[in-house]
Amino acid sequence: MNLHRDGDFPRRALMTWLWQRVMRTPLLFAASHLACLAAGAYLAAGSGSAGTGESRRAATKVGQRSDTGIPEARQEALAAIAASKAAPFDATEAQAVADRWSGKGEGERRTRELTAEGRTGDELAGAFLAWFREDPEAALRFYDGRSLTREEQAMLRLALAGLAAEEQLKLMVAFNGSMRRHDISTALGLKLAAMSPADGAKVLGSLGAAELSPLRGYLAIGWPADAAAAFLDLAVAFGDVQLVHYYLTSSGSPRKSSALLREMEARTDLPAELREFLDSASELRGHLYRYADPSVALDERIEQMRHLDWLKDATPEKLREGALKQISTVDINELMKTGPDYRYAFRHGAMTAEQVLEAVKADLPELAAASDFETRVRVFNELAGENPEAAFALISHLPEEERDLAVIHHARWSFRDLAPDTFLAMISLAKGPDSPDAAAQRADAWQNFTRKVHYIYGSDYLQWVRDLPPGADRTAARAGLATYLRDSGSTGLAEEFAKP
Amino acid sequence: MKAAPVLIASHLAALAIGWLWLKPGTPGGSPPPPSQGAATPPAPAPGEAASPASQPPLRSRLSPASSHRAAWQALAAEGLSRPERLGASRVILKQWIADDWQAALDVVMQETPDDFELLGTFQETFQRDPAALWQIIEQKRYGVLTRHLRWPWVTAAFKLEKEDPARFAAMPQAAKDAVAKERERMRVRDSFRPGG
Repeated sequence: MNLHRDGDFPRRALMTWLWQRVMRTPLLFAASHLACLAAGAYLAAGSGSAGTGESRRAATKVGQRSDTGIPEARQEALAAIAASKAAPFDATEAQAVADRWSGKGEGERRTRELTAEGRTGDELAGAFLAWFREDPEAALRFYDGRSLTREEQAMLRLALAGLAAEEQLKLMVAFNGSMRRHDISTALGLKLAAMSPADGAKVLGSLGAAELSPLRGYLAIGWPADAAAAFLDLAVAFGDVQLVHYYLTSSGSPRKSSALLREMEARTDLPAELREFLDSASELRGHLYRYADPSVALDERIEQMRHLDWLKDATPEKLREGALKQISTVDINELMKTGPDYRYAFRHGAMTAEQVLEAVKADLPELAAASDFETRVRVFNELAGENPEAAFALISHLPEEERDLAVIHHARWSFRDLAPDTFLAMISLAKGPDSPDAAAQRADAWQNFTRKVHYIYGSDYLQWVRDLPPGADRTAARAGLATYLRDSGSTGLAEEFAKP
Repeated sequence: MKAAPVLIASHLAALAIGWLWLKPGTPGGSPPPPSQGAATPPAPAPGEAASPASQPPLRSRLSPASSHRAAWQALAAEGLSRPERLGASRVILKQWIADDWQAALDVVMQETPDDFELLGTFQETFQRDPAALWQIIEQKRYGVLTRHLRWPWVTAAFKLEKEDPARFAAMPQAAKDAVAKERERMRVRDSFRPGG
């Protein structure tokens, strides 16, 4: 072997050595191949995400990373969000299916068949639409008496939208006392709101006064919330003050009613009867300004709340204090219901209590500027039912007595959660010892809570109270339960819980 | 030296076999239980060509339960409104119920009671297996909050009584007594209604 012959020498030298050493020594031959096998396996284990330390460090806190870089958990969540927003069926295709099942009774037969088979989608929507076109009442009765799925709601909306307003009104009469009346009134509200007031008045006039009278409240409830002006125009055109009265008092949403009030106040051409009604309804005015949209100036809302009986003689400071308490409760509760689901985010650790507070302040800047205390306490009230101890951070800086009263006040007036363990954890944040005022309020809080939950939990609640640890809350819970049981006629049990 | 390429090829083949054997997605690639050594590759699914190089679906990296739980948790960071969040929760629940309905029920019952409207998603499951739901109620699995399962159970039991009397008769006596008691309570309530 000439080691210095040419530039290819290193490779040829290696090959020669391998041939002489490896091929001629079986043990070395096998070992070298096993080494390559092991090397391949090592490379495979290092490149996978089968739980090596490096891949764990790369994983997000919500799960492993996918090949797309998005955590798997978030992928499933995003897919669920998209699926929940996707149309449950194609309306155009459903119409085409309905045209195919236009023979007498075919829509009904097909709807029943598909429902029995558990099938949904365009076919079911189309079959139902065909049935509804033939016999709206019978088709709606098929879905009467129960809550509807998202798909069923969409099917009914599509079907009802195709019905003339006069027919929708007749259906409302036919479905007296039915859950479906709300679906019909919503469809009718949309149709009437889009009509001219004169045409809408003709529709309402197609019914006799006796038939229309019980429908007024449903018309108000079903009316689109952003069309208060159209409702007022319709009521004026139809000459029916009672329609306005129902909208202001029974629309199902005080904020929606408040929008109609503001519309009426802005008009200079109201009929005399409506103007008189507006001028005389001062308590209602105060009530509705409490619930007005936050876009209405806070100072105006506070001033209008002077019309409430309990504030009419208040000093300006007491008016402001009392009104801010109520407005902050209303606005923050409404935000929690209709805005981002801060409570869920807090419950599952995606936001801290302070982060929720900052988000609420950003959403309600005028309120936040007017009173940091009220904003902070109301956010505590909203979050206390989720995690009392974590929410407590929002008020832990307050002087002890003020803090305890804030907790007890919330327990007494605004705690909505129905879980006894959560109520106990929340009210226990007020450690006491209670002043006489606080003790009375704590007792009242337990009594209010008992009235709400005994109906749900029955004997299980009695046992839960029996198992409470000693302390002020055990005493107050037993006393509250004793009072409730006595008022309900259960004197034997009342005696048991009247004892400490 | 003709054998040199053969030698190289055989070593490369050994390297490739070692890599393919333990790459992610094959049974040998997942961390094996202590009692197992290397496993044979799985048979291909029906209709699917055997392909040692094919990757499994991403979801199989997490168990179904932990995948759904993590997705449930992940909704909290998406800035959804409550109706949007409930809608997405129902979608997750439907798949979770199919995989493990009791685990899904556990997570719903850990939410606040105003989210218990999600129990409607379990309606078909409860109607298919009211006996299992009765057991959960009897055990008071969720403490006092177990009461919120009572009405869904009663509804399922009524349906079972009507559609499959034999299966209803096989239920525990305490369950049948509870159904009778509920029926009597509803009868008394309805007798006070106008026209009742």
